[in-house]
Amino acid sequence: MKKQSLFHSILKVVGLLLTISTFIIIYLPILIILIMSVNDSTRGYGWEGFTLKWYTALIVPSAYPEMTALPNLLNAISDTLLVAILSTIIATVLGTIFAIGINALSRKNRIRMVVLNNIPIVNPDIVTGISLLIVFSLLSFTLSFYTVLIAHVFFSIPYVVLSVLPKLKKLDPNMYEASLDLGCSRASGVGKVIIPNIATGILAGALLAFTMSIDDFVITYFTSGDEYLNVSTWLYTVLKHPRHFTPAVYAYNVIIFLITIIIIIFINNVRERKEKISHEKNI
Amino acid sequence: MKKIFSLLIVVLISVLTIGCTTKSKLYVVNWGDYMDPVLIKAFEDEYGVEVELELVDSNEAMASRIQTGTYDLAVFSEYMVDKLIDQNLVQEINYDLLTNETGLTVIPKLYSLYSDSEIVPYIIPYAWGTIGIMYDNDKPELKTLIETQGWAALFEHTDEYNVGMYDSSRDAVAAALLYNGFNVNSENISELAAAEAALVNANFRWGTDELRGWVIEETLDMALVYSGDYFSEYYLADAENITFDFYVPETTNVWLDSMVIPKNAQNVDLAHKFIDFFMREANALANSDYIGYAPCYEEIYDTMVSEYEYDDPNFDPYPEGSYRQMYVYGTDERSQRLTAILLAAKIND
Amino acid sequence: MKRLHGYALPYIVWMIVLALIPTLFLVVLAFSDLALFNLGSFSLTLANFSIISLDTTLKAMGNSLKFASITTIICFIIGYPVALYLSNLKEKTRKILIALLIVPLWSNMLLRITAWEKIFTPSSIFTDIFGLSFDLLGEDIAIIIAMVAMYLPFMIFPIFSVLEKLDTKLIEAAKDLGANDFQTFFRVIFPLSAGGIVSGTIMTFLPSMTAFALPQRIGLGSTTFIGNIIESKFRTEIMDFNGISINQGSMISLFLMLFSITAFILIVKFDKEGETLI
Repeated sequence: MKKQSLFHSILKVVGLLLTISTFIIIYLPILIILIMSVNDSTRGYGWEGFTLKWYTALIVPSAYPEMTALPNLLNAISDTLLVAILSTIIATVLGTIFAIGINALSRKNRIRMVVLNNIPIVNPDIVTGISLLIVFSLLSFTLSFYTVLIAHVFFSIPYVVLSVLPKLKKLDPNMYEASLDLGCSRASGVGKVIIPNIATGILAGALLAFTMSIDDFVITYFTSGDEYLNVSTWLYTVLKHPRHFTPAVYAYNVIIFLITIIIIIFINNVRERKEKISHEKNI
Repeated sequence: MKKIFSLLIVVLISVLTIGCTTKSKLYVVNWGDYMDPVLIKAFEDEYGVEVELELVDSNEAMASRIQTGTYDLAVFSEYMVDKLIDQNLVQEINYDLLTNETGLTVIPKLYSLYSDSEIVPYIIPYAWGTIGIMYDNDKPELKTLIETQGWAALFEHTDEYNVGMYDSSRDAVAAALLYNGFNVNSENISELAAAEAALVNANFRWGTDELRGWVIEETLDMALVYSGDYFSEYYLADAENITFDFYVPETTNVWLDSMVIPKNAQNVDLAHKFIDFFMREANALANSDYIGYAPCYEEIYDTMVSEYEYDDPNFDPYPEGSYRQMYVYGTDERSQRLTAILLAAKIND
Repeated sequence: MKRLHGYALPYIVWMIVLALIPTLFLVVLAFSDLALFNLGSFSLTLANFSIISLDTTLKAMGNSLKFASITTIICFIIGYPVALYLSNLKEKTRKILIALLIVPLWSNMLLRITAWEKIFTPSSIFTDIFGLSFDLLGEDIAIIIAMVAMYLPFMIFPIFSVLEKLDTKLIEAAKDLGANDFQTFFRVIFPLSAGGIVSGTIMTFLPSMTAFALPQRIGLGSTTFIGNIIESKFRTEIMDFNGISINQGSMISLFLMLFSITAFILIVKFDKEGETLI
């Protein structure tokens, strides 16, 4: 008996130590970003005192000449958010429809479709980026905002599908059939019966899609033309040309970071409340 | 459901059309850190237009941009302009549209370097300079080493010091050729092989505009940089805080960057207005002060030296008694060879 | 619900256009002299194949494989115990910690790379504030640390999601049959988490092997990965005035696809429904 608990406790101590190291290594860069966002230094070579001007520069850019410099960070931010919002909406709608379709297939075909669906997830970004670049030039699309949008929808849909499918599997198929018997059309049956029951899956998928889009670098890099820069490709360019850099990008990142934390807390609260309610119902 | 969908479509369409403005646009492709953003903004405001600026790291990359895309203005080095004329990718400058040009004279010793070339009608000189060594002057022995050994300091001490090399095939190979005592335009196979060996054997860090920042942050002890890389940092830093210095070996290259208008430019007229805007004396001065390179026009250059205190002897890219070489494009095979040398050198570090 | 299978049809078309056709075209580009930006007649050739056997390409490939392997192994050695530890925690703590692991991923990846640059610089903000100085920029170890920090969560999540769902009855059964903790772990828990390990390995190995911004920034350009060569072939040196670089880049990309195909086969084998991928 002693031997067993020894193994157990070793595992526990090692696990604890490694978990702590994991958090340190993952949060260290976040800490640096936070510090840089309040550092009163344009070039960022060292600590030059506390300031909030990079945050105000995001809100009232006209007072800061560096905020109008090209390539423009504010344009990059608005382009990033616009693509992220649009691609999330489109990918969520399409991904949910496709997932409903995939779920309706026979087991064999469903697995085939899931494999197909996983291509963009497993494929390295660089290969996906090049593949899309090739399609766009075959279709003679000029690389622009729109090609980036298509690319983002492309790599977001699989995540929505994967988030929605497990929820669909748990759904009782008789409910949908019943709605048809009660006079719903196919589409309204989907809207009234299926969608409300898989809403959490759709929401999770949308959140994933948004995350993937807002942080994407490689695929945007290969599918964007001369005019379109998102925050990542903007950064990649200005890191090589430091005088175009502005620390306001750190501030932007901190703001996004805080918003995400709020969203996660909010979603968790809603889920907990729901679970509580259903728990109480069961009693 | 239908209502939600139609609402969504309306939102989508309106969002997608917001991005379109009616302002006419000027597409510029330029090197990074190479044009004062305040002046670009002033140009936009004055003419009510929008400037789209794309940044590149090398002449080669810029050439690929104007081949695959449409730009109205680019800033190329002299040797590439030569090649672009051969490829029919640039157009002649229309001097009738440049009102400020008449008051300015190109510095004679600069003009003599390219006055025989076919590039003259295609270019508006933008800046000129050399390559040299920027180093951390906290280490006195390093200063002595560089001043006594010149190019050899860069190539022979990469084990003791962190040394940065420019990630551009022409400049890296030119430095290696100069180190070996050859001409920067050498096409000789064994000379190029010696240059390759020098680059491969040394253990460099590679970068472009970030090299000077790395010297300032002491990640690097010394690095090959363009003259303006040093001066723009020098005039930006606090006087008491300057921990870096610049050394130009006796024999080095001299280059001339010029504004050119690509053949397929959509907005030729506006491109000329842009050039003219940067040739206004006040603007030219402000821009030269921003980029830190020597201006190409006598009037501007003199004011820079007398009123902006650019009196460092190294500010003149071609001082009396120095020996300077200018790049020529050479053959396509040589260009490919240079690319291969750079790749081999980077991969073996 | 079965009659809704028609909803999957457009997806097949979508995937054919955006995933299958470019793959086929990549093969054509790799084995011909077709100019991507100037489509016209072309002839098939094996000339681009020489790029693979080039000393520089092989070395870059070697670098990519070396760094990706080391990163993946370290991520596994750290990630598995962490996933195990987290899966044994109380539900509330577990949820909070997992959320805390996800949150940093919402920070821009390139900005996090920049932060690592600051950490590894001899005199930077990190030195000013913490008094610590690591002069590691450009060293292999710096690239590995940054890569582990970047991809570790992608190793932890899939393993965690498998361990979390593990049927506790199986573990109890093993113990009832006389297995000690050690045996239970290696005979029951570990084999059952194979699906998560495979997904985690793939999600760590492939991105680190194909990385190009991270080695470029942290390695100060002195460590070339295969991704850097592809980047330059498709983005910067497109026009060496004879334009074969895209074809060469396609050849290298095709070579990379061998790795993703292997990954697919493994995923299909271990996790048919792709449940560990998110």
